[in-house]
Amino acid sequence: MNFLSPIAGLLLAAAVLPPLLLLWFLKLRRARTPVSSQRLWREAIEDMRANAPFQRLRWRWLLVLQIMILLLIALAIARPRVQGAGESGQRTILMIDTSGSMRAVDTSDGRTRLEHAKDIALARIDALHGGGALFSASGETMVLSFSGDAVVECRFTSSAAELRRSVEEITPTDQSTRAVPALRLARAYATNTDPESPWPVGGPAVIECISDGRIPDLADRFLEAGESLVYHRVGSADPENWSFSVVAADRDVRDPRQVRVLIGLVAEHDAPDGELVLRVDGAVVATRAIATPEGADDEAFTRLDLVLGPFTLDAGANVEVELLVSDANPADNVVWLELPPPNPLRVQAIAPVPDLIRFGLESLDPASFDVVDSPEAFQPGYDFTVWPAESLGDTVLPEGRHLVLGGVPGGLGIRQVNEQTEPAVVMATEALHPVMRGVGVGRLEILNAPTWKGSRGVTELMSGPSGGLVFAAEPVGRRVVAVGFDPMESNWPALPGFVAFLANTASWLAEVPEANAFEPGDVLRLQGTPGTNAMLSGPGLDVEIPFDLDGRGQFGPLRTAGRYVLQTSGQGSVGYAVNRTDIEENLLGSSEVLQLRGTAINDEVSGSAKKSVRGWILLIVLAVLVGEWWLWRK
Amino acid sequence: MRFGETRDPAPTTMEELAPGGLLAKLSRMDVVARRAVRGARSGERRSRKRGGGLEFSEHRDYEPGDDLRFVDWNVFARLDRLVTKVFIEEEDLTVALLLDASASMDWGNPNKFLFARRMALCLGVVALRAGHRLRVHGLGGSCPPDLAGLRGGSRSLPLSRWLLNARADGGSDLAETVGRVSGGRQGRGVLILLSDCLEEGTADAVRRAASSGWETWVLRTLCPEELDPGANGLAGDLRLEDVEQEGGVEITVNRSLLQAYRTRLNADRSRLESDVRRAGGRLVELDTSLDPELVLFELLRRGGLLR
Repeated sequence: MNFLSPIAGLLLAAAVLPPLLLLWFLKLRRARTPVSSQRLWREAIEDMRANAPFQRLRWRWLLVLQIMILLLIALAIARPRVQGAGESGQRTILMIDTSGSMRAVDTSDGRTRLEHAKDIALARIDALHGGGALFSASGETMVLSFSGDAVVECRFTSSAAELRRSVEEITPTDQSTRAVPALRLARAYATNTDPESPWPVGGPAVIECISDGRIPDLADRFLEAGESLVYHRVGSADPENWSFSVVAADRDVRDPRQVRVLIGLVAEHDAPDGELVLRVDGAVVATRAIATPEGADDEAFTRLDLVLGPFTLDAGANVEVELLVSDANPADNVVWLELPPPNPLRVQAIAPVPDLIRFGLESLDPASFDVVDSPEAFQPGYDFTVWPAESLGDTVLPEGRHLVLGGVPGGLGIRQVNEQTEPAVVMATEALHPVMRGVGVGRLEILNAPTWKGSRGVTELMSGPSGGLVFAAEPVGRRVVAVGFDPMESNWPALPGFVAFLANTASWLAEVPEANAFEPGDVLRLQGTPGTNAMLSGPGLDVEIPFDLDGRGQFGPLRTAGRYVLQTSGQGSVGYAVNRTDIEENLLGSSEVLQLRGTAINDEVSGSAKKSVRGWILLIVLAVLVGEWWLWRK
Repeated sequence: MRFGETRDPAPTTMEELAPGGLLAKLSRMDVVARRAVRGARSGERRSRKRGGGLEFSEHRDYEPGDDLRFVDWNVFARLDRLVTKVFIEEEDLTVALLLDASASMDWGNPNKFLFARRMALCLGVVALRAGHRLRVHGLGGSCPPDLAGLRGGSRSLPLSRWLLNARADGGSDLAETVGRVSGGRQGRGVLILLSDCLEEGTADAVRRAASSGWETWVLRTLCPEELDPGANGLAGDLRLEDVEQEGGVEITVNRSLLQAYRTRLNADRSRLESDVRRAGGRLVELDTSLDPELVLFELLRRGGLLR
């Protein structure tokens, strides 16, 4: 048995029981009984009072019955529910989780969590709208599914057939779980079911959430006053599963034909051993055995980072990484990448460029290295532009990617702490940043170093005794690495670390975002020939996408992960990779409670049907009242 | 039916008052007077007055003027001394029945007042048949005028009529009434008080009677509801109201209270018996649920009131 409003019942009991006891003692009705003499009784009572000062609290059936009545009423107000059918006239909203974790198969019957959830929903529908003469209900039920967004599968109806059909038609998604939109939708329907009326119709409905409980966005939500939320849990608490957390490809700066694939894996509990297979355009390129890291057995999950490659890839390609393993969720064992063709490095520099710096940049072997005379001659289209100190002046960096040497231009969120310069050495570096990876600065000495301080969002790559020396910033439309001192007034260009710094900087600045990488729940924004249609195909999907007069089209939110291909008439085909790499969603451990802010809702027995017993309790109250009346008369 | 309320109808005939031929079974019984008492005239009881009776008492020296018929010639022959035989003169015995007719007596099942009247009838009949003088007095209530000077078995009828007409009502001043009755000029004898003795003053009444020369018996009449109220239907939250006095007492009947009542009742019984004995009387407690024959032939005979 559980209670929908336990606090109300407790408050009532606390409020009415003490006054009842008080009134009982003050106003006890006693039967008048003649006796031959009251002398002995009076003496006996005096003896009793002398020996038992609390004799007034002794057993009295009428008092016990009255206390029982009040407790039963309090119990009824707490709205207890037991196995059985629904309350007559009740409105119920079934919220069914269809997120990626519900694809897990972690029971011996080989069925997914979503299929179990649908079974529970069907059982609830049967309980609420099946029934016989005794338990038939006149209430209405609504079905919602939720993952990244909420879908009304069936509006409020008392038709069991319609409800069952809507539940059976629910399909899984790969989206992350977000219950707040569904909760908002449920609340809207719970308080107003008549779109014609601006006023709420009927009382609040009971919301029943069927899920594995991994709903992070509920944690900062309150249950509203009078709201009833019931949690039906599906799935096991400790599934063994592998999933992807990162998938990315990296072309070498010096030789863009060389490709590495970066893979982040998450092993949940004692995930079984397996094999990672890398396919490029369908052909196996590399394989790697995987196993849960040693000593990770006690952890809920462990991470494993891998680099596959390098391998040579002259053109763009479709990359697929598949995990061959028998784990709890086969649906999250494959990811895709749409790798663009190699992009040779193109560098622009603003004159004057010191020779030592020129030599360093040329050592990167760029496809083109062009020097322009002034900032006004800046040309877009290069991978990045080098700005020596003398060329800066009051220039505000245009949109693009820039390496600034010997100063910090405005607009980056970096300010000079004082005008004075002083000799400095490097005190600390941000070694984990891609720009500083493998860059040794132990012997770096700076003759004249101004002191800078970056605001929030600016990364201080190198720090001196008084402040920052080198910064990385990414204001809107730009990506900048700024060296706050003039390298020519230091011994840095003569040190090996400087070349590594330039190479890392070139790699980071020239990095191309995965333009065609998406996650389930994203909207696919497409470009095509204006005014035409194109066919988009994906996992279990073929849909025609119309393009507007600006050549823009869209599809989504994407429900399932996989490779999508847009087939246009004039431009050939374009691939899009949709991967589920959300760790929160890929972890499968089912939660025993649904955690809301200030409230933890316990799981009910899966598949159970709950019935309010308030009516029965009130019936018992009536029977007890009759018994009390009989005793009173007696 | 409330607790203690009498179920039995009031008797209207002598047969109803003493059913089952009870009176016929009393023919060979007599009231016992442990001490010789002086009656108004000679009767069947020995008297302290020595003289012309038949029962030998003692010898005394002959004095001139003594009746020569009472000289013991056998003693003269052996001792050569004239002695006179002294006989106890037999006189009649007065039996006084005092019936408590206060309201507290008209209560219980079987009814205490009915039981007391039944005992009074039996004892009175025994006394009349034995040739004793019988007096009957009512204490409180609505009783007919006192009966005095009844003698002979034929007087059973007025006795029964008096008892049938007696009504229990109101209170009674036991000590004063007993003092008034026992202090009269009529002959002394056996005074039998039939009462529930729930009011104070029983021992004082006995003391007054004894000081006037009465051999006093207290037949305390209690009903089952008084002896064991818990077993006879007393339960719940009650306000007990005394049938003789104003006011009441509020109780909740439970095991502890019943135990306390029993303790108090036993203490009261012991104290009353002790007080009565010290005052020169005897007390016999009678449960109204007992068979009257058992009371008469066993309890009162063994107690020494009847033989």
